[in-house]
Amino acid sequence: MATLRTYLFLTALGLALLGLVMVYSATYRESGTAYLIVRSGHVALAVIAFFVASRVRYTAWRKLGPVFFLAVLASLVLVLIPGIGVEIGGGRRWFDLGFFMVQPAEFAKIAVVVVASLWVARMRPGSGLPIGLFAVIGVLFGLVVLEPDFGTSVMILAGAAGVLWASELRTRDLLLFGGAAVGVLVGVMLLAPYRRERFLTFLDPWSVSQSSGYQVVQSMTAIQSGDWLGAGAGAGAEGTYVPELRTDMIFALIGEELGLLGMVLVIGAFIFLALAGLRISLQAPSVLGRCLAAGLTTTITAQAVFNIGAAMGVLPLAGMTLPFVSYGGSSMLVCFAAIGMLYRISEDSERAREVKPRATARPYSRRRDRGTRDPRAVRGG
Amino acid sequence: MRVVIAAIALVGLLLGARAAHLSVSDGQGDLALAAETGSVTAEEAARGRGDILSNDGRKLATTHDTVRVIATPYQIEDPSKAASALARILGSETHQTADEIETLLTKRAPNGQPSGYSVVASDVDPRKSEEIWDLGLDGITVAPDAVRVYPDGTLASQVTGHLSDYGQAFGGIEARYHDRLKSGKDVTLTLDMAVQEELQKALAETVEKSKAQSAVGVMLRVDDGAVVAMANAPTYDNNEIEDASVDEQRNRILTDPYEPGSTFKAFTVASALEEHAVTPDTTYVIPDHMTVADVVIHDSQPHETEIMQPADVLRESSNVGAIHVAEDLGGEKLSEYIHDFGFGQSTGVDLWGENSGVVPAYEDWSGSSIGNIPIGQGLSVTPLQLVSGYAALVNGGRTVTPHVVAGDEPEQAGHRVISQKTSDIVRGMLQGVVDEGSGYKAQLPGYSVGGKTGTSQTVDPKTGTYGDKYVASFMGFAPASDPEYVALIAVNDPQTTYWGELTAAPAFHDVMGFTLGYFNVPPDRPHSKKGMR
Repeated sequence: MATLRTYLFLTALGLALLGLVMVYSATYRESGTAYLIVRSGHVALAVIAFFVASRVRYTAWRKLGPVFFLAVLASLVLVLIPGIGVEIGGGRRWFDLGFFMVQPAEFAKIAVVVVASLWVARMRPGSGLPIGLFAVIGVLFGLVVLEPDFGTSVMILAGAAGVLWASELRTRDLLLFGGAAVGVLVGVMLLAPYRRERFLTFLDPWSVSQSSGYQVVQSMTAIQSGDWLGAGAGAGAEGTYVPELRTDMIFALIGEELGLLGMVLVIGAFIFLALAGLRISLQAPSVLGRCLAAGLTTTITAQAVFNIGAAMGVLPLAGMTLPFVSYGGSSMLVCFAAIGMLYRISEDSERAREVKPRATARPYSRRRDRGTRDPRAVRGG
Repeated sequence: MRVVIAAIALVGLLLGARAAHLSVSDGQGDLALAAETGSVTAEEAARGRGDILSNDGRKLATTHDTVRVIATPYQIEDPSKAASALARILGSETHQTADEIETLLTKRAPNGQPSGYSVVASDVDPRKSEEIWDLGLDGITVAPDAVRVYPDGTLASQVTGHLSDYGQAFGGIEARYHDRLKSGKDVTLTLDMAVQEELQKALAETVEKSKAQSAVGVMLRVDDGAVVAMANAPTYDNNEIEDASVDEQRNRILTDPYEPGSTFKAFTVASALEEHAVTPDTTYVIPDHMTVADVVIHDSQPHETEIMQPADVLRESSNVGAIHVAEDLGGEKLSEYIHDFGFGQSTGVDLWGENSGVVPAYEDWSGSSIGNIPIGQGLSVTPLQLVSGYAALVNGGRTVTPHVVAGDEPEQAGHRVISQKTSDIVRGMLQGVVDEGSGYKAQLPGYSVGGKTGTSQTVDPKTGTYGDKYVASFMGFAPASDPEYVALIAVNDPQTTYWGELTAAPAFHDVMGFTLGYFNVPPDRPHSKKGMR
C-alpha cells in the first residue's frame, strides 16, 4: 500500500513535470521563460498543497468539509459579480489576487466530492435518493454553469456520480440520478447556442475547420504530424497553430512533440491513477473514505478522458484542462490536493487495518446490486 | 469490480488506439486525415501541391507559400494597441488600417461574447510572420497558408484548370490530376507554351478580324497524339476566374461537338480507297447537284457537269462527288470506318468532360443519310476527335490517343484503320487541296502542306434545325511528305465570311509555320516560295 500511494504521488508529479516542459515548449516562442517560471511556482505550490492535504486525516473532513463547502459556495457567488470576478475569454471565472488568479470552480470539484461523501456516509445502506444532496449539487452545478464554465460543471457531476457509485444507494436510484444528470447536461448544452455549435462541431470538425472546428482540426493535424516519437520537445511546428495550446490543448502538443510514445505514456499514467484510486477506494475502512476516494479519482480521470478525447476529435470540446499537465494554477493545486487526500485515505486505511481486528479490516462491501461474492475477489481489486 | 477495471482499461485502450490511428497510421500528412472526413481546407489543399509545367518548362500553376494572421478575440487584452502594432507590420501589404484591424480583433460571436476565431489577414508574405511573433501578442497566431498562382494566367487556362480558394479543383489538369498534384508531384504537359502563345495569338486575331463569336485550335503530333497546343478564344485568366463566363472556362475542344462538314470528306474517300470501292483513277461524272431520297444536294458553287477523280472531289470539295464515292462504298462500310476512326466515342484523352459527339448507328440511318453523312453532316464530332482522326489518316493509318500529360502515353499502340498505302494516297490528295485547291491560304514556304477546309452550319440548340450560323474550319498537317503535326482551327460564327479557307486557313498558316521552324523540322521543299507573306 505504501508503495502504491507513493507511486500515485510520483505519477502525478511526473505528469506535472512533463507539463512543465510542454507548457514551456508551447510558450517559449512568444513569451520566453515567463510561463516556465510561473508554472514552476504552481508546481511548488501544488506539492505543498499535496503535503498539507496528506497531513489532514480524512475523517477530519467531517468538520472541515462544511466550512470548505461554504467557502467555495461563497466564492462561486462572488466571482459572478463584475468588479470582483475577472472576465477572460467570455467567462467570469477568476479572482485576481495579483500574484495568482484563483478559479473557484476548480475548488468546487473537490467541494462537491467532500459534501456528497459526507452526506451519503450518514445515510443508511439501501435508503432512497438523497434529494437534499441533489439540491446542493444542483446549486454548485448551476453557479458554475452561470460563469459559464460548462467543462467544469460536467466534472462536478462526474465527481458526484463517482461518490454515489461508491455509496450504498440502490442501483436503481443511481441509474435514475444518472439519467437525470444526462438530461440536465443535454438541456444546458442545447440551451446555449455556442455549446450546441460545439457539439455539432465535434460531429464534423472539418466542415467548419475555418471557424469553430479550427481548434480540433489543428489539434488533430498536430497530433498526426507526431508519428511514433514526435518532433522532440520544443521542436513542434503545427502545435503553434492550436488555440489555447498551453491549457486545454496541451495534449496536441504532446502528440506532436513526443509522438505516439508520449501520448501512450500519458494515457497509461491516467489509467494507473484510475486503478490506484479505485484500489484505495475499495480498501478504505469506511463509507466516507471509500466515497471520497472514488469521487476524487472519478473527477481527475473523467477530466483526463474528456480532455484527451477532445484533442483527438473523439469527444466534444468542453474546454477543460488536462489534470497535472495543462497550464493553470488552480487546476494544478486542486489536482495535487486531491492526490494528497487519496494518499491520506490510503494511509489511514492501512492504520485502521493495523489497529482493528482482521474481520473489520475489510470495509462493508456487499451492495444489493453486487450480490454475494467471494470477498477475496474484492480485495484483489 | 472487474467490470469497472475492464471499463477503465477499455477507455484507456480506445484513447490509445485513437492516438495511434492519428499519429502513425498511414503517414500521408494532414491530407489523409482530411480525406478521411471528406473535405479539405484551402491551405491544406494548396500547401505542397505540385506544379503544372509545360513541356518547355514554364510554370502554368504553382503554389506560393503565404501565412494567415488569426486572432482569438477573447484572448486579446488591448485590441487597439494590438491593432496599431499589426497595422504597422501588415499595412504595407494588405493596406488595412488600424481601425479595420481592430474591428477584426474585437469580432463577436453570435451570442454576443467575443469570438474565438477571426482571420485578420490572409495571403501575407511569410517573412512577416517573424515580426508578428515578435510582438508577443496574446491571442494572435500566424498559420501557414498557400495560394495557387497561375503565372501565365491566360495561357492554356482551360487545359490547366483551376484550384479554388477552398481547395476544390475545377476542370483541366487541376481536376484530372488532383491526386497526383495533391501528393506534391509536378505534372508536366506535352503542351509547348511557345506554340500555345502563337496559337492563342492567331485565334485572337482571327476572332477579331472575322468578328467571330469564338474560335478553337488544337495541334497534335501525328505519330503519338501528344497535344502540342490547345486553345480556346476568347480565353480567361485563371487568376481572375470569377470574371470568366462558364462558356470561357470550358475546354470546347473536347466538350463541344459540331458538324465537321467538308473536313470529313477525307474520311469518306480514305474508306472507299481502303475497301477498293474506288481507286485514285476512278472517274465520276459530277453535276452541281443531285437528289438523294427527295433531298436535293448542291455543290457549294454552281458548275458545269465535270469529270472528277477522287482527288478532284477533295480539291473542289464537291458534295455531289463525295456522295458518289460513298455510294460506291456503301453506307454500312462507311459507318464502320467512321467508328474505326474514333468518331462517336471518347478519344481517351487524359482530361475530364469529354463529349463523344453523336454518330448515328447504321441501323438508324434514314434514306437521306447517304446524302449527308459522307459530307460531314448529320453527325457531330468534337474538334479533338476530328484532329485525332486526321492524325490516323495521315500518319500511315494507325489511330492515336490524344493526351496532354507527358509520360502518361498509353502503352498500347493504336489500331490500324487504313493501310500505309491508302494513307499515302489520301495524304497526296490533301496536299493537292492546299497546293492547287481551296486550301491555298495554308501554304507555307519551304514545306509541303496538306489539308482540308470546312464550312458547316450549326444546329440552333433551341429549334433543333440549322440556323444562320456557321463554323468555318481548316484541318491541316505538315510537312505533307512526312507529317509531323496536324492542327485544326475552327471559327465559330464568323461575320465577314464563312468560308474556312478565308477565315481559318490563315491562322493555321501562322501557327504551323511557327511550329515547324520552332521545332527545327527540316524543310521538305527548301526552294518553294509558295505561301510567302
